[in-house]
Amino acid sequence: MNAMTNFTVKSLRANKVRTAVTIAGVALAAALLTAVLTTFTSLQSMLYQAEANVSGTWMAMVQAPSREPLEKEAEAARAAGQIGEAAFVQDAGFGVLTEAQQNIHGRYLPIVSFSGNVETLCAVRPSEGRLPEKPGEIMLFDTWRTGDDALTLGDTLTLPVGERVAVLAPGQEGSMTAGSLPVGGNFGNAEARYGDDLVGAEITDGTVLDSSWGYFEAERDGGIFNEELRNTAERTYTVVGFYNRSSYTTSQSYGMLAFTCDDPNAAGLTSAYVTMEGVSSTAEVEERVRVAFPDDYYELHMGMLRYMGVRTDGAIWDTFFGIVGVLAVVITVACVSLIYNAFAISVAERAGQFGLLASVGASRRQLRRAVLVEALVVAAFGVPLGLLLGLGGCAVTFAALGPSLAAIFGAADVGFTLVVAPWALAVAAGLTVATVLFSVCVPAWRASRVNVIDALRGGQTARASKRGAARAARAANPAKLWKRRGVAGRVFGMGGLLARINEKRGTSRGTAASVSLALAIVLLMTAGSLSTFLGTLADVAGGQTNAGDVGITASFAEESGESSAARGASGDGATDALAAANAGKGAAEGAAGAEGPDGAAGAEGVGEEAADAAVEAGEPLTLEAAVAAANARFAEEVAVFDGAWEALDAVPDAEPVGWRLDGNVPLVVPEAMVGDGARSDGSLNGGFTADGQFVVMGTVVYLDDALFDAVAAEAGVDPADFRDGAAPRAIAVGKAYGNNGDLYQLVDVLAGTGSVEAVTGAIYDGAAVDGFSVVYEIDEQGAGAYRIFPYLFESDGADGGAMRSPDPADVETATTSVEIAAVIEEAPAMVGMYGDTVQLIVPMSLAATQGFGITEPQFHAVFNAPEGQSGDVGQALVDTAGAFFHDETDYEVAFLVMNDYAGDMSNNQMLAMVINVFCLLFTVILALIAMGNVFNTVTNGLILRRREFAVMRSVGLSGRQFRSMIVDECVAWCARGLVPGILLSLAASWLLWRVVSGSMTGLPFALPWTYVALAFAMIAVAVGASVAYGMHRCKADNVVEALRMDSI
Amino acid sequence: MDMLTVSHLTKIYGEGEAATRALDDVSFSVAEGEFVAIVGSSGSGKSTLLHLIGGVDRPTAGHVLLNGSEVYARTDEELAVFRRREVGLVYQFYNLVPVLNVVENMTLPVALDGRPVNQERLAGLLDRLGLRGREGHLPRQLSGGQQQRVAIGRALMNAPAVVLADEPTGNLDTANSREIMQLLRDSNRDFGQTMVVITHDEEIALAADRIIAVEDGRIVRDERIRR
Repeated sequence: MNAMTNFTVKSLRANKVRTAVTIAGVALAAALLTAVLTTFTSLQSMLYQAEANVSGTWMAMVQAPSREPLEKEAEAARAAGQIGEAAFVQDAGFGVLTEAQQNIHGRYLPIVSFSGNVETLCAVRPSEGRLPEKPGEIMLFDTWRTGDDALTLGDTLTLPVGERVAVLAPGQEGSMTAGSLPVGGNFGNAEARYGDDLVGAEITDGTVLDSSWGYFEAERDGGIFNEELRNTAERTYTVVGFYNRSSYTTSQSYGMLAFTCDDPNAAGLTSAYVTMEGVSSTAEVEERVRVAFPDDYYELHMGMLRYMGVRTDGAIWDTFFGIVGVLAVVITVACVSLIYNAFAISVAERAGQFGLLASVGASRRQLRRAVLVEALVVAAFGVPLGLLLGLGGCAVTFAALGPSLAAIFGAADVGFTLVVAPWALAVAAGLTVATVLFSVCVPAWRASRVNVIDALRGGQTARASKRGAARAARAANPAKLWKRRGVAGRVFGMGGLLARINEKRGTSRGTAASVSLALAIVLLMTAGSLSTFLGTLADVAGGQTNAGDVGITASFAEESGESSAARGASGDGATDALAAANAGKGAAEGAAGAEGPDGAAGAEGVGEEAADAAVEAGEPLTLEAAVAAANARFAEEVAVFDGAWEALDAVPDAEPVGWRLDGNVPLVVPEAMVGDGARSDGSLNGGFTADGQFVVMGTVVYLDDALFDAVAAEAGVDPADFRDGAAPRAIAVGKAYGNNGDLYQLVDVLAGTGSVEAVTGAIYDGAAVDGFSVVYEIDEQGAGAYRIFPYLFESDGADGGAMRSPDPADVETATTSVEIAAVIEEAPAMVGMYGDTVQLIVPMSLAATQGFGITEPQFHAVFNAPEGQSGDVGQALVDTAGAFFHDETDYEVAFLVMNDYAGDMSNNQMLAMVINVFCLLFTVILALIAMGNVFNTVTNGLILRRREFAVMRSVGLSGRQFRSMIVDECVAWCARGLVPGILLSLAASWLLWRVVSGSMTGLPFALPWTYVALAFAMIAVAVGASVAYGMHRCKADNVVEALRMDSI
Repeated sequence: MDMLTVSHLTKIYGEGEAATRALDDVSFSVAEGEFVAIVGSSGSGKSTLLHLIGGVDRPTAGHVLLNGSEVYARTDEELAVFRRREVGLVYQFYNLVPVLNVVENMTLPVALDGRPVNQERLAGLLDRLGLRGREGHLPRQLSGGQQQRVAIGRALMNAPAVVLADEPTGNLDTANSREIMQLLRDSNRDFGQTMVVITHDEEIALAADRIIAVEDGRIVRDERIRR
């Protein structure tokens, strides 16, 4: 150990508290940087794993018309180190499916033959059984395990397999070239696939289509070709596995792939999925593909490349990197300040020692190095400690929050675990050491330039500033001596007066304290802002209010329930039926007096059944009859749901809250009633028609009467006025989510009360239309307008058939005027969150007489459940409702699901907890750094003046005077740190807000007031502690010693 | 009448084996108006003795009576008041407050006591100390001799019972040393100011009425000089 190092170590030992605080500061800096970077690497690893799990690890996919050349190219590329692994998937024919099978599995069964590790590379892995290992074995998608022809492992699947061939649609002729059809896989990239020569991309009658083409259907996609399977031959496969996860590789528009291997029938289009080593940019990946597979079509796995860090774009990553960047900058600034202050003070305190060393021949370089070595010693202890702290903190935090974090990022089956990247540790350590060295540059330079004479004279370095001398000169009039007492003088007496003089005439020692105080405010408020903004994010996710803990939603299939309608009818003669149908409206009105939906359904059944009968009889249906039939059908469904609601009462632990039915109804809103937020184009799912009316696909919510009455009472209207089906009235929700042209947010959709027209039915060619939609059309002049568009399904016997819009002139439309009696600002909890359209609320009892032509209403029933049991109660509700619908009605349930509001809420609370813990840790660490800094500067500011204090005490400064002097000085430092601190923290908060709002629109900018208060409190504590410690070091017992300090 | 009585004064620094007996059972008295020089080699305990008399340190054992009252029966706060009113301290390195100008440094003990400054006395001291025209100067704008004169002015400002000077000329050249000693001598003669001066310079000690020699924490000689 040479003399200088010896000196350094001794001086570190001599000042244990400051050394410890400085080492702690360095450790915290390293810990924070480690934590930030490790969180980043762990998150990236988790996302990578999740992506690999879902889509495989392939980085590029290359397609070629045949297998051998592709394999050769891949082999050569692998030998040259251009690519890593490769897996091949080749077309092996398309299986013909029965109509029933088509409904479940898609148009065909596309069979592919694979080789290579598709499990890892393409995430094609069996959920049951295994991957095929020899020809004749097959792995199918999960849907094959259910249905009428369900297969199990070991079964054989025998089916005709052929090739897809393009055939000209009836009445069409000619050919099409790539790019001219809106269907299919690689049309858009045909040039890349086939090079300049587009011959292969030309489709003519009889062209064989490989699996890259989408399904050809001339009428749907506006082309001239349909397709069919030809050259079919029977094949038999043994089922060895099923897979249940769809991925890039497994999905085709006409069905999920079936995997076989080494299939002798495999021919044509082959895809190679390849990985690469040592690539650092998307361009590099692309370049390697181009070199290795010069003539082939390729795609890059962007999701994968993103998580591998090869591709770093996208708003989320910008925000993520932005936050990491802002945090790193804040941490670094904080640490630079902490370390700089510690060393600046250490050097100032030892100015005499440095002078002495210089006088005995230490060169400036040696003096500089003494300080640098001191910094390195501090770093040598602080950095490893910090790395351990950071990793340990991450490990503990991840262990506690890992499952929640993984769930939040949708990677529950991958899990969130600590991933320690050597580069992250190296960066954290390097950055910290660089920070330390940067921070001591100025103090080291200062140490090397200590004035030897000043230092040796024993007099401390001059403490009075130049301006101070001028002020002192002006204050020399003996008559006015000690008279300028001011506020400080009055409050703190002589001590305050001395403090004021010191502040006015002294050099910059107090400034260091002010700067560290300002910085403390900035740090704490930055942490506060981060916490506030992220907290808002969590609130947005978790802040919705629910009417209850759990609910179920159900709807019936459209064509079901016929026989139940018939139960309510008496006659079935066609002639009678026609009369009855046309009188249906009257019948329905007559039934309005009947009590409850059950009675109404019975009466209305006549109307509907009659309408059906009329159609059967081949007689044209009148509009009135169609509307009456729709109303009757609706009333009957309501009755069924009412029954279900009653049945659900029996579910144990489910405390009923209420129920509602929703249905979509096209609404025509007078221009004057349209709210500002609905006016901009595309804001809602509607807009202005060519003749200036506003049309929108609205929602009518039938709320059970008790709930409705409460809503009405709140809105200040009489609920009894809303029960008349002949003159329906409704309460409207005034706000909805829409796009105001800038942000997606809550907008005003209705400006006030009035009457709107509900489109309740339409007939075309003697039959009721199947439904309505609101569409945006551009006419021949290029002007766009919205229109209510009635549509029919072509009933060609196939599933659903095509949608067709008849000429509006041939459609007779019925409307019902609905009076909006009140507009409420907030949707009641039972109605749920705001919608994205106009919502009208009516009482359930209106359903008996007015159905607004709603088909397929959605049933929502909401219950409360004991804490933690919402999921179980929800399942019981679903089971009970399912049993009721199955046993007690003839309706076929289209869907029946539960909504676990309480469970979702707890998930959101989990997210909020993760965010809060993260913010808390960040805040605590920043607070420690900030307080350490304040402690260092304030304490040392005082200790440096020990001798001065000792002098004052030796001439009679009392303890009380001493304390009031120090307190007054501290108040002055705080005051001076406050304003710049608050201004700076405003800037930092704003910057953070900009970063976060980049991916989250509508986030309001707000200052974290609780954190402001917290910052003040913590600063007060830090200042208090440091003053106490500083005073302890300066206390009277040491006067003699302090006075002796003049002899170095 | 004895202004100052020191009896069986002992001061031990440190504990156990590291304990250093800086003063060992020292007793003597100083009469009002007396000019005493305490001499001794470096480390003999003379500075410790001065600090104990001045109320800036507490003895391990023994008593100090000033004007008949026990110095160390006082609380810390009372000691502070004692220091401003009863003693004037002059140090080798002046020990002025760097941000206070000449008159402020001189009147600091008065100001700390919350009493009005005696303008006449201040003016007289400024004249006598040759500090006229330098009232507004800060310590760093003054020479060493001038700084020491400010320190003497501060010690005399309150007309204390005793002025204690610790090597007041130790940091000065010969001319300045003589001048400072003359100032102390004059104050003693003109104001009847009781004065205890520590020095290791026999020539300076000869200016005193009485010389007390200290070695190893004990008084080895106490002699009066007859003029």
